[in-house]
Amino acid sequence: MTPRTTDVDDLLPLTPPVFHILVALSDRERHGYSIMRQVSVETDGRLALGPGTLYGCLKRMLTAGLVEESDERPDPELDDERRRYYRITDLGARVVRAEAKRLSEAVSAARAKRLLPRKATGE
Amino acid sequence: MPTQHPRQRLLNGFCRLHRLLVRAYPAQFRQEFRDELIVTYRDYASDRLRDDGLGAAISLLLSTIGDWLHTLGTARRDASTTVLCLTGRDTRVAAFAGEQTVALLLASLGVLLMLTGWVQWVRHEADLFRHYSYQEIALNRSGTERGRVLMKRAGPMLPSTQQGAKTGQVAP
Repeated sequence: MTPRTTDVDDLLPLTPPVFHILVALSDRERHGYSIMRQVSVETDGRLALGPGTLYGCLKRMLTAGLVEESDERPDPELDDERRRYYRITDLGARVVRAEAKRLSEAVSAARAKRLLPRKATGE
Repeated sequence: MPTQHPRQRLLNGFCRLHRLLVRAYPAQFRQEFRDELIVTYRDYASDRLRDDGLGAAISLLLSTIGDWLHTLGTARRDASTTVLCLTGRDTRVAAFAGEQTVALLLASLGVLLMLTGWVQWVRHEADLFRHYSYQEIALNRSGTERGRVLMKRAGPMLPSTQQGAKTGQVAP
C-alpha cells in the first residue's frame, strides 16, 4: 500500500490532467464521462482526456486521497449501475487551491515581466 | 431482425475493439476499472461519432490507440512501482519512460520487419540461383537496372540460355 502524504507541498506541482480533474470535481461529484466533458469545456477542448488516461489519474488520486468514491447517485433515472461517482476530499481541495495559487503567482510574475497583457482595470 | 444504423454498427465495432484493448491493461487496473472504462468509452465514442463520416471514425481510432498506449505505459509502471505519480516532475520521468518503452517497441518491430524482409529476399535469391543459371537470371532481369548490371557481369550469353530465352523458358 502506498503511503499517503498529507503535506500539500509534496504533491505540487500537479499535472494538467490531475489539476483539471480536481477543478471539475470542486463544485460537485461526477462520474467519469462527466469529468471528461467538464475538463474539455473548462479548457476549451485543449485538454481532451481519454477514458484510460482519466481512470489512470483517478486511480492515483484515490491512492493519494485527493478524491474518493461516492455512494450517492445524483441522477437515478439516467444512471448506469456500473458507473461510479467521485468527489473531492479535503486534502484534494487544499491541493487544488495551492496549485491554483501557484499558477496565479506564475501568471503575476509573467505579467510583471510584460510577457502577458495587464489585467483590465475596468475603465 | 431489425438492421442496425451504420453509425450504431460502427460504435459497436469500436466498443468491441476497446474491450479487446482493455484486456492488455494490468490485471489490478482492469479489475478495478474495467466496467467503468467500458461504460465511459461507449459514451465517449458515441459523442465522437455524432458527426458522420470517415474523418470522425479515423479521429476516434487514433485517439483510442493513443489513449491506450499512454494508459498501458503508465498503468504498467504504476503496477510495478510504488511511486505516487502525481506531480509534474514524476510525470515527466514517467512519461519519458513510457515514451521510451513505446519507441523501443516500435523500433524493435521495425527492425524485426526489416530483418524478416531481408531474410525473405535472401531466400528468394538463393532459390533462384539454385534453379537457374546466372545468365538466365540476368536475361530475365534485363529490363531493369539491376538486370543490366547482372548482364554486364555475366558476360556473353550461352547458346542454350539464348534458346531458352527465345522460347520463354527463363527464370520467373
